[in-house]
Formats: sequence, structure tokens, C-alpha cells
Amino acid sequence: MKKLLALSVAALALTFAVPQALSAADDAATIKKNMVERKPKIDALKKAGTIGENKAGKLEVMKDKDGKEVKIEDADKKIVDAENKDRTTIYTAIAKKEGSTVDKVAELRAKQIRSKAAEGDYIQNEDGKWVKAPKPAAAEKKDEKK
Amino acid sequence: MKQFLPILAAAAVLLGFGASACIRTQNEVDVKPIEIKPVHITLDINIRIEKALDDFFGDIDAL
Repeated sequence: MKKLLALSVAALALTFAVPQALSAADDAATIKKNMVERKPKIDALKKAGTIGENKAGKLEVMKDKDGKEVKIEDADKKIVDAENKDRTTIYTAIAKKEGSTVDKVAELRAKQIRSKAAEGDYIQNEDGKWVKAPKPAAAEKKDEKK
Repeated sequence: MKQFLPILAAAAVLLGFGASACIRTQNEVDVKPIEIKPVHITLDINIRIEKALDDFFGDIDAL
């Protein structure tokens, strides 16, 4: 009887645990796939100077001299919002896994983004100042070799 | 015997200083690891987070 009870408990635990683990992996794979699909459009918007990478590891619509958001198509705004939502999901999952905070993960991701940003893209420094990204260090080294 | 009393007293005082000096040294050794530990933990967590970020975003960034 005790064996049967133990088996039932184990079966019940597996019923809940396995789909949850699979679902998390599926979610991450789906998010990655969506991010890859969105990347060309996001890169184009960055190149046009319409959006930039902020210090919280997210995309932000740039503002004009009067502080108003630059005009952006609805479809493009949806892409930016979807990208930011997915990034938040990933930052949250990493923070949970590593026992840290979402803000810390986002801050470290922003640092990575700044170091890899394409020349001329808008990036927000830690002090909140928006600047155009310089030539990436890796590209500079390649140029030096030529 | 009276001649030895000041010498014994001086020896006792010196031993006292010696013992207190030993205790002080031990205290310093105890304190150092407590101060350094959190820095190591923070660095370790940051490295792990950066690795997790690289694992997920590495392919996307390389596109």
C-alpha cells in the first residue's frame, strides 16, 4: 500500500514538473525564433536613428529636440513592444535562475549591447546620456591589421 | 626571595603583553575573509549572468 502511495505521488509530481520544464524550454525557443525574425527590422530602425538601446537593456523610441517621440509606424511600434516584452521575459528567467534581480540582469545586458553596438546606432550610457555608438572594438582591430 | 619578586612581576607583565598581542593578531586574521567574501560572490554572480545572457543572445547578436 505504501509503495502504491509513493508511486502515485511520484507520478503526480512528474505530471506537473515535466510539462513545466518543457514549457519553459519551448518558451525560450519560441522567443529566440521571434527575436531572430524581428532582428532585420530592428536593425533597420536603429540605422535610421528611430530607435536606440537604452541603459535598461531595452529598445526605446528616440526623442526629437522638443522631447517628443520620433514618429514611428504602428507596425514598427508593435515590433519594438514585442521585442521589449520578450527581453523582459528572458531577463526575468535569468534573474530567477541565478538568484539575482531583473534590473541587474538588464543592466549587464545593456552593457553587452553597448559593447557590440553597430557604429552610429543610438545607445544610452549608464549616466543616462544618449550617444552614437563608436566603431566596435573588434572592427577597429580588424582595420588596424589591414 | 625578595630579590626575585620584581623580576617575577616584570616577567608576568611581559607575558601579559605577549598574550594580548597574540589575541590581536588572531582577530585580524578572522576579520579579513568576512570583508572579501561578498566581493567574490558578486563577481561570481555577474559572471554567471553574463554567461547566461551570452548563451541566449550570442547567436542573435552574431546575426
